[in-house]
Amino acid sequence: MSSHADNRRALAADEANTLLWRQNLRRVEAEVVRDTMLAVCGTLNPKPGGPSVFPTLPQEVHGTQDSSGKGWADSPAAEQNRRSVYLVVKRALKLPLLDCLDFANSASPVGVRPTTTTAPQALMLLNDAFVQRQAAALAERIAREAGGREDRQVERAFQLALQRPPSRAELKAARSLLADQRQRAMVEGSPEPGRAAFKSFCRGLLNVNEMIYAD
Amino acid sequence: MNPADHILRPRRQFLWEMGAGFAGLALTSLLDGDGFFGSRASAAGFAAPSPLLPKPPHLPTRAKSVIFLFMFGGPSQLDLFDFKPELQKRDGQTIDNEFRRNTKTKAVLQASRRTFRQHGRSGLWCSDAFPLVSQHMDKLAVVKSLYSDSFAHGSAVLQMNSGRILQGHPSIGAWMSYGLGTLNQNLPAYVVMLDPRGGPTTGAPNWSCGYMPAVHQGTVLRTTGEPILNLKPPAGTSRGMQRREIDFINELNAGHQRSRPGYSELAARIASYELAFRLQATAPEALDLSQEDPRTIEAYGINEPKPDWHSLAQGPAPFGRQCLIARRLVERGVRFVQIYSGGGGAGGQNTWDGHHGIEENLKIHCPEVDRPIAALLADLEQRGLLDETLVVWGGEFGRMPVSETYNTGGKPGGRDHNPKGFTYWLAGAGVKAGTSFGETDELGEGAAVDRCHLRDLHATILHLMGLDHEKLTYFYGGLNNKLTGVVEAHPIRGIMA
Repeated sequence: MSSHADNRRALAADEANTLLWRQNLRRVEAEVVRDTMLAVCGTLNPKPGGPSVFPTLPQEVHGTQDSSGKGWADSPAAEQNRRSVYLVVKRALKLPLLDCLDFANSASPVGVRPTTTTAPQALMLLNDAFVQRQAAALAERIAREAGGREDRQVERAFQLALQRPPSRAELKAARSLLADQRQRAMVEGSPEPGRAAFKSFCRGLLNVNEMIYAD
Repeated sequence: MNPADHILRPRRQFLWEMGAGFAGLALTSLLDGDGFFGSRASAAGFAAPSPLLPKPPHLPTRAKSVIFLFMFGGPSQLDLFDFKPELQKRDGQTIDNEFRRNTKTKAVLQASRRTFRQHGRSGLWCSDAFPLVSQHMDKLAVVKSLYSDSFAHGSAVLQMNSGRILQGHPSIGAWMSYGLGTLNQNLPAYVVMLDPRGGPTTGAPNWSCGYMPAVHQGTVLRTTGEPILNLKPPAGTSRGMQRREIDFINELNAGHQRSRPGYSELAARIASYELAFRLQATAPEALDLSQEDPRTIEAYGINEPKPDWHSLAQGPAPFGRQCLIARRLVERGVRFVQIYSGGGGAGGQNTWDGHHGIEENLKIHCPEVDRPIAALLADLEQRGLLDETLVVWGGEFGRMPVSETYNTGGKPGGRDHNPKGFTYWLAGAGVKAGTSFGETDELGEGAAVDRCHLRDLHATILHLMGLDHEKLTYFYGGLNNKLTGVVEAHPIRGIMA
């Protein structure tokens, strides 16, 4: 049973899916969002077990603590790309990326995580340093695997991120985006407009609903 | 709301998911207006409101916002507001002092070195440590008989914020957000500003939403540098580029949504990107002090240089900036603003925690808040905002009438924690101005007359904001939770107009 089900009669009769005529759309958990990004961009370190990972956090996040940075030694870069299940859980210092995506309230038992849709999530996934690194890595990966032709690159990007080829409309949208961003970057004096445009495309792809809503 | 509803009743889930964080959406009209719905109009009939849209209060009130001025470390009521002639007389005498729960020790009474006077028409007492705030005593309702449950900073700060000494519960700002929503959907409902020296003990759980959805948690706002985490596009991405990128994202999302009809959370996420883009402009505007009259900036002490007599003293500028921003935020409809004075680890003179010498501690911290608070009260009054704003002042506990003993590593001349009797003041909407309520014993060691537990203070704050503390509940863990908890609480009628 899939949520990707198009039954007009059922939809008209039971839009809320109370009678379960289709599977409900499910937004994946915070950890899955992060792990997916790492996997898609080719940066995931699959090493299991071992001591917890202390990711690098912005200074202002440490600044909310009464003893900024105490007991927190950033893990080596390679370790920081391990799966989210290995990230340290400090009750008083939730990782902003996970926290905004409804990571569990680690100070009390949680039967069901609430799922919220918020502007800070959008800000995080557009602007956060972690996402920039992944988008850049994805761009590099695609350049390596798909060569220099734009069409091939767009196809490879969709294949990696969404596990399917782009539709004709999507290909058109991507090419339009790349052209616009290249133009804009050039006008704004970017040293590498093509690269800036492609990173924008990769980052955009990492932000679409299809990345985080499982059918 | 039964948590199982999340699984069995997806429509309820939509109601929680519908908010785009800071923004409430009249989703159907907003998205329809933006042309998100083609012929399908699947959101029609789904008038699912954002959890942050303003909700009507239970009780009549004019109050719209709270500004909570938190003196972290525990300000010494005996040197500020609670004048104890008997303590002054018996300076130097040895008494038995309960300095931790059920643990007594011999200690020496330490009179205040401050000079107390009665002020204004109300005759409320205030010491010379607050020369400017003391000019506003006629606006204040001072409660001197508060008591709470913990001697330790971590649990005490948590309790003042969430009603519990343990982590994991929603803080008072979250309760406000949950109970009342917010008035400006383009700014956070609940804002927290921290001391440049660091956060309070326990950190983020103090402004947590606990078991409530994340929309209700406090947003930490920095007053220098980037106001909110990730507010600015990264280097190399201009606002124009980001706008175009968001258009692309939502173009793909629209296609995705067409083949998955009837899921309004997909639409909500589309809208959240639009709102994030807008937020990048509205938040900096709220913090843009260049719009303010230079005399206002001056009044709040924002131009004062950092004092050089002590490495930990920072003068009124940081807190002054935060108070002015708080005024701007409540003007713009933010529901709950909390500002911390003192931070970066308890025990030293960086907070109000005067173990190592109360006189030095007062000399550092009183000037940091005196001028800004006086300016804030005057400014709110002048703009007609004081009737609509509830200002609350206090810390996680008070301090002892005895000189610090060596039990906690402090020095003679210091004062230790005192949750048995401490002072809070309130001003503004619904508050009976120029009132003193309750008393500590003659030495100021514990609340004695008209004792009010911290939960009564919480009930009072909720009441003044139009919320009945018994009716404002959130179902979690098999219980209809309340901010005031399971023990009966009563709003302090004596300070209500």
